[in-house]
Amino acid sequence: MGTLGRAIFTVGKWIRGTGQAMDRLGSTIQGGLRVEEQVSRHRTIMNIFEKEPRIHRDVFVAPSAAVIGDVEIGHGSSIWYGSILRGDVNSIHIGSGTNIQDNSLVHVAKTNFSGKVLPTIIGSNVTVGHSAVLHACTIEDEAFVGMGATLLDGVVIEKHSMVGAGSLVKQNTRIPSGEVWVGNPAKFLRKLTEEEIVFIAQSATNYINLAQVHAAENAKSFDEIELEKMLRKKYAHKDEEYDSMLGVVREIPPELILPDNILPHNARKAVAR
Amino acid sequence: MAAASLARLSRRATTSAAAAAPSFRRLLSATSTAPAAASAPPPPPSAAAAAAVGADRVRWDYRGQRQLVPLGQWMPKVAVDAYVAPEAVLAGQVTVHDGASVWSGAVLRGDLNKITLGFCASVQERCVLHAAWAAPTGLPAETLVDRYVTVGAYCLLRSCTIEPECIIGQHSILMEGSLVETNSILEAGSVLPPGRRIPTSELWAGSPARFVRKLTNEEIMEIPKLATAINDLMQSHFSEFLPYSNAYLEVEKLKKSFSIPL
Repeated sequence: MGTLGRAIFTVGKWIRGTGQAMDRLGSTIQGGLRVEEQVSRHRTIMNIFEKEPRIHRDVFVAPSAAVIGDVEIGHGSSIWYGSILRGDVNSIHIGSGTNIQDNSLVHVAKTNFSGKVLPTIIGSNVTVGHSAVLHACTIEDEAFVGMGATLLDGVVIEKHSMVGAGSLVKQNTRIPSGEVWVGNPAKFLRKLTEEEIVFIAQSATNYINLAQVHAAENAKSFDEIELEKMLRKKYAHKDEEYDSMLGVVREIPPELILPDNILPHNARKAVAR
Repeated sequence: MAAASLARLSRRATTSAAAAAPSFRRLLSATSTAPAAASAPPPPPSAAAAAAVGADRVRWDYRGQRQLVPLGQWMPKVAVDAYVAPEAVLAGQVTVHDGASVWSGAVLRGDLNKITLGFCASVQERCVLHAAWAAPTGLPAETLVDRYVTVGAYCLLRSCTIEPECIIGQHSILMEGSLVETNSILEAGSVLPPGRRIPTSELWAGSPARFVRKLTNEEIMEIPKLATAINDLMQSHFSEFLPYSNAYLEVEKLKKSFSIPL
């Protein structure tokens, strides 16, 4: 660094020092009401004594999610923002390719009225919608739990069935294969058509791809985040659609390109197939 | 030696889905017990062992969850006088306009389509706003919460449109393609099936939502007043936070106490 550079750096350092001194002055003036922000103590993956979550390496666990206790998650699954998987009093098994969407709660029972001790077992390629509450239930492969659904103790959801949004499935209900149950309390509505069953599998695949995007984004280091912020600012004025109208092809930096498989035209092609 | 193991750790972290930010303990182990750290890494690729893997996953990242998560070129845009709680998560194509507020625990995931919060709109605690690619109505599947709308706590909105000056009760579920027209109120706990439309100035309730009665003029006047009241409340929460977090001061203190060079 030349002398000029060094001088500018020192001036910047003085300004920062002044700023920090003013911050301390302001905090003193605020006195008891001031807030000192603390580093986040949230632990994404947490043991309860010896019970340890066993999570496959390519599972996306959102940083704001909490996976606690005796939980086992298979490959390709995803645990989205704000969900809580609490395997503290019993165990939770989640298969591969399953997605537990945002703000859901998966818990287990140590005892319940009937005396059976129930772990929560969720199969593979299951879609659990936003804000669902799953308590000591068993969900078999390729089922679909709608958003906001509440599944109480001992519920068994068989393969290829769907629980509608907002339903409350009462204790020990068994939802047979290929059926849609809706409502509070949940009752049989209709049977699932063939394409809806295909859609369930497709939605699980879509979420696996989407989870990779989110996983990559949340795993970035501080330097990568800052670099991309700068790149985004640089490319902010260049709108792709406007460019394509003019016939201009601009190179978007690779860091800013999302993988193709989450884009709608690709997914629709896959469904139509 | 330390540099080599650090490089190996960082290379592994960038190729796997595990979080790249090293915890302090791992930083310590990398610098002091380099051989131990070097032997920790990638387990045998057998399927049986793969399920039990997790030893290298970051359990505690001191950065916590970012509030605004960019995806590719999309960065969530928050207006300067909008309040977004630190525990809320905005990802992808989300635009929060002036005077709007997003309260704790809300998740606005604009990864497949847009999410817009209009002027003075509020999304209360633990809501989830998502947008699908396509709505059953065939109209654009973005989630639009227009101006002066109050979305109650624990609501789930998916690809729906809420026109200006509405109230959505707590714990309600609005499914793909639903439309809540101007000046209407949806009671708490209601479920709007896909594609359902609530006409202007009506009160609907239930699961699935059914018409209850029309709203009187006084009630309609109250709706934007509620939104403004929440805006006022939001100002006091907003003023608790500095423009930039000073959590970095604690990080520097911790690093000094662990003797990690700043």
